[in-house]
Amino acid sequence: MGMLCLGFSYAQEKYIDRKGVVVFEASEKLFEPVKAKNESVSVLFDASNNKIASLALMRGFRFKNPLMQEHFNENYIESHQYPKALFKGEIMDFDIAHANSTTKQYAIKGTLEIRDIAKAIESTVQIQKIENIIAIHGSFIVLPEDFKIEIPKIVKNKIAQRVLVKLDFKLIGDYEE
Amino acid sequence: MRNRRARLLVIGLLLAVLMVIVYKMIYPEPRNIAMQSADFTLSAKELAQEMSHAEMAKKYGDKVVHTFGRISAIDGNVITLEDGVVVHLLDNSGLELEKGDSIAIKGRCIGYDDLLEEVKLDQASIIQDK
Repeated sequence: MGMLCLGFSYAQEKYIDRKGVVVFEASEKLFEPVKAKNESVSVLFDASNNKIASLALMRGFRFKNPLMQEHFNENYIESHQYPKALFKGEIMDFDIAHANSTTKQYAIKGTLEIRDIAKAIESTVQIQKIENIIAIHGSFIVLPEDFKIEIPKIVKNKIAQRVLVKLDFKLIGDYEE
Repeated sequence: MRNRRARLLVIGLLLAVLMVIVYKMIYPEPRNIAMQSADFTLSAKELAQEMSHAEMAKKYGDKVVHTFGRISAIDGNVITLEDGVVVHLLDNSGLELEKGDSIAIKGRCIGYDDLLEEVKLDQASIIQDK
């Protein structure tokens, strides 16, 4: 399957989440919250080399207001043409052998690709490991202009210029195969 | 006096109706996938095969799909059909599903995940008595 081309060597070092949660928020005070949640994000982590990849389908982001969701897909992201966001990177200095239920902080480096435009991302994540589950929490900031997303003047003051992206992943060790 | 009061009442009512209409336009009801009829009906194997071609995202993206197949994995409310279609059920309480069961579902196709090579459907519900 697809994991092969990412260079996964040992089955027991591969961790997968199919229902990862990514929330983004670009709300401005006094205006209707601009917030969406995707609860079907895929995450793949290889503990042998600390490489992590995550894919979010744009249509999977759900807003409270269906009109806002439509604008997000049709006007800003153009989901029919660019259906996904893909992050590929590495968790720095992580050692699976020493990971445990104590939450520790790690640097994460990689690239985020949206609308065929790759942008370097550096942030910190909190990681804990309980049995065969690795929990990863974190957040980072992106700017719409980094991905050539134009916000029309008429709504410019209703959408924050800095978009906060929060992630919450629970990866399960794939020990079966 | 009475006439005037009646007129005010009518105007008030009309305004209230107008406000409701405008509100519904600005804040439409979220889609209820379970109540919508399917745009496409095909087996999970066919769907996985079709969606593995990138250009198919346009055809199925955001569409209501009725699909069926054998359960290859279950993880809470997330069910995988035929190792290639991942279905996020709205609610699977009260259902006893097991690996190997054949089921039919209806859900919204959100696209193809080329990291895990799977089609993803969300807001899905199980269709009884296939």
